[in-house]
Amino acid sequence: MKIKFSLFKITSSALVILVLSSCVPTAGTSLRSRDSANLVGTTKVSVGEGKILSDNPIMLSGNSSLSDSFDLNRLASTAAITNGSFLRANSSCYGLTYCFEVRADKNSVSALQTSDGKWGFLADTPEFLQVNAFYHLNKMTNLYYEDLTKSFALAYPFFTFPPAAAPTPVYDTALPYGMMPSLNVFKGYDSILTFYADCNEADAAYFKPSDWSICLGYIADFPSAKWGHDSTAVYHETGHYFQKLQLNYRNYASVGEKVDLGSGYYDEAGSIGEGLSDYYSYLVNGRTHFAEWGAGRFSHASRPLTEDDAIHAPGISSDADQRLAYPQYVGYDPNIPTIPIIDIHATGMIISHYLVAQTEDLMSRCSMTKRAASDMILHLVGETLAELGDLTSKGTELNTTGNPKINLRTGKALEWVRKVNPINFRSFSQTFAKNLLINLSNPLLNRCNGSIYPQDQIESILDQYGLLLFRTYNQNRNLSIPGDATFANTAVSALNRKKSVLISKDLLILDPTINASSAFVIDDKTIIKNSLVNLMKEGLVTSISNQTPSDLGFNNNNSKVSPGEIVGLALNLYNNSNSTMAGVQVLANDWDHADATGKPCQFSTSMSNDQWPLTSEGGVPCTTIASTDADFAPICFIQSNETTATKWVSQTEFKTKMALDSSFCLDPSNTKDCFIRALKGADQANFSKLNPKSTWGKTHADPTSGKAPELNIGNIVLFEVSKHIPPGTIVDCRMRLRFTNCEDCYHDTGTRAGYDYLDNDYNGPRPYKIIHLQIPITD
Amino acid sequence: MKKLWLFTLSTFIALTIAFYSKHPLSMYSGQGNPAWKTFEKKSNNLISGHTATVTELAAARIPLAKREIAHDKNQYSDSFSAQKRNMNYQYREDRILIGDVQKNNYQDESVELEMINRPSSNWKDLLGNDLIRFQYEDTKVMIKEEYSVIKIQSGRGLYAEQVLVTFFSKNGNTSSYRALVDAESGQIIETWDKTIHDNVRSSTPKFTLPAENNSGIIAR
Repeated sequence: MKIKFSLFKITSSALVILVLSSCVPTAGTSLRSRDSANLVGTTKVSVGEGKILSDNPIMLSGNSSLSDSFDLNRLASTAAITNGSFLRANSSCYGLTYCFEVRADKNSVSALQTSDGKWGFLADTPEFLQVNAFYHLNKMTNLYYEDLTKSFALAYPFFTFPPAAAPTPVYDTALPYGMMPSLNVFKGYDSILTFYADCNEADAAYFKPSDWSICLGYIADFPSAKWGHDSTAVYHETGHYFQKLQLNYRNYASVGEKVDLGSGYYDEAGSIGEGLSDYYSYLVNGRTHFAEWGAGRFSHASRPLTEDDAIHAPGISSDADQRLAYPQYVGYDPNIPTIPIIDIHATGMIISHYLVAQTEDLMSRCSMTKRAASDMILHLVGETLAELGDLTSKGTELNTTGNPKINLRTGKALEWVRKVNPINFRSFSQTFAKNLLINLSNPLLNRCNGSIYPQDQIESILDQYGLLLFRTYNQNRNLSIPGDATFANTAVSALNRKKSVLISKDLLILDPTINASSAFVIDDKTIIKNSLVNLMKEGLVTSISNQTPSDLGFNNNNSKVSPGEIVGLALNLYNNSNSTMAGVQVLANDWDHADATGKPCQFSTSMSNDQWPLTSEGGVPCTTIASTDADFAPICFIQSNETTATKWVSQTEFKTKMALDSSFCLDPSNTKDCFIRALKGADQANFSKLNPKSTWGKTHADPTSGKAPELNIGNIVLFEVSKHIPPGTIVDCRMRLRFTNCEDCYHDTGTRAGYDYLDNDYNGPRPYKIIHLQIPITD
Repeated sequence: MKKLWLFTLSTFIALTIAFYSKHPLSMYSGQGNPAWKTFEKKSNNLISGHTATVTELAAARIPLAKREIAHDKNQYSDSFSAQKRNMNYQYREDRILIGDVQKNNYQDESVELEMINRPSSNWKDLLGNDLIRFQYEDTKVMIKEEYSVIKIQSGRGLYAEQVLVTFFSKNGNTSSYRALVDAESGQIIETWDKTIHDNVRSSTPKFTLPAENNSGIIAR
């Protein structure tokens, strides 16, 4: 019995020890926590301190050829990390105990924990990457919140807490005062940002707003080279996070739609986002080059932020006429300058270079420190994104009219900001310039060293970058009335437009070369299936008709449009001008081009270039110059052979003539696009640029081999065709085209005397070049 | 006998604590989470849906810890019919009002509001089927309800659900976004919160133009 009892005591003691030991954070090999002293050896750090790389290894070593096997411990330094037990940081976030945390990877169950209060780890450990990422993330986040506080002080200098009433801003700010409910505490930050310092993905880095996470991976060919060792990569990726917040300053509630900057495929909004993220790296470290280690050393993909950088091709300098100008340098990669590429990062350099040039000019003309000047730029970018991304459509705080000022109206705003009047180089430049004007050129504020920043200088620098693409600052947007002092827009001086070129929309045409194809059909089952899988995973295409089989069984790869298929249509566009066109957009979404009964509009020559169809062909005159914002018709009509004539009719009418039951329509609840429709989410195509007198294919052909570029999903429009459409049917789809550096795609030279079009005008024909595709349905 | 019972009990408790303190799955949902539903394509003709399991949440790397520390607790509640009221929002029929909410006091349910649709109990199944139907058979889609809303647009109301959609492939890749979904038809109205990729090498599918146009299309 005694033996048994002793056994019981021993067993119990062992179990108690086991229980107690399980409550202590694991030390040793666990990813979650290690005792730093065991790893650093003689290199001691104090409590709350850790080892970091203060910049990336290339900059710290001064060796641009540094090997991936170099001992990075030799470059590490000691820095204050946190006195907390976890890699979590507290900042001016709203209602949270902490705003962000750093974890090893996506399998990590918690932020890194210290068992001795110290954060000193060897440079090749996962813990070092986490501490390094935390240090730089914390640095950037503190700067961002400090600057956001300054932004509110610039907009609402007399704001007190609690506010007695809605405060009046000293200029027409887009920052909503309700976003700051108490001093230096901001709404819109009610989720924790999780930063995965080594997410174990090759050549990958991304910001994922669906769970507010950032992932930094490694270089595929050099697995020991981690993005997390490059502080500029931390700044760049976190920059996307802050842009997301800025873009949604006016949509700060947790519930409801938010705006993304870019579609995920090539577009100018995405390019602007990349340029801004490069600038945010400069914002933190003041250096005019991005990712020398992560991208530069191993992938030849680092990026400069100033024309004086030695990496640039000859002919680029900070001279006024040698800037990295739009659209000439769209798709320019300094690492391979002779090969035009289609890449948002490359095109985004135009924005980063412009912002650095503007920063330096503020330092020079307003006697600002670099810190103050770049903080001011961040403030103006925040104002710009907040206004452009406003889904409430109010736009700015001094809009007390009760009428929508931007993005058409609530309920349609997301479609406008994403597709119909999207963020591009023109809208960003114009709104940024407007914010410069009302902040720094405002004589009531005198914020440029006690004086004003000259309007001519705003325009001059923009023009050096080819970005003076607008005739007014468009302060009042949809409220503006030419000649009305209350709602007038400030004009740009035409004399300042020396380099920025505006081209007539009529010069965007289909390839006129004899025997050249003007459009192509892609109906290969595998290509279309893979495209759909990708588009659906990205949330771009979200609904396909139930009558279309998931194996795309009707797709027959005959390069023709057949019943039951999903096909890609690509236009063979041609720039018939003597200047480069950029930001070409093909729209296949619904728009206001039919009357109330669905008959196709025949527009007057002052409204449209097509004058289609004649009244004898079923057209009805639509004379209203201003389109409504509530009428939308699908782009495709169908030819109907009637007893006396051949007419173009709506799909609803064709269905009635066929006596087809609505249940056989692509969407039984909507007969308007019963037989053929552009798939929502794949109903626009974007082309980065077209050289003068050139097609897109020739513009991007390899200059050495002459090899034509490949298309991607972003260059085609996807159409879904009903299996019930009779073979032999002719369909006419009326598509709308425009480009960013276009004279008459944005300026209404008719009734609005050169002011920008109103948002509802973009629902009609006038701002666009109209192109028709007449598609025979072939069995 | 009493000691034996004590011994058994303490052993059980100790082993349980030891297991859960060490096992990574403990950080994921302790049980299947009714807020998440998984849809899986078994074949071209068979799609199944079920409450997301612990294993699936873990495989898709959806940690419970992150959800628990979020500020807005009610969005992570398992019971959405009883979501807690947040003073920042207006409510009607226990749903958050979004859209043109300033134009009328729609919180007052005596204020007339014409509704475009009627909530259906199977909207999530319809949505899941739509999303998974075109995916390859190794893919799962997981849908999580976040908020039930009424969206006011042009003076009319639409019953809708805000959801988080996560695609999970067998190779471990995930992609996700948020969506507003028609609470009757399960059709997606809008999507947002898409991932921004900074990959060094583009992974976008590419294809060459056909050599010639045999489509018969006339463009002008």
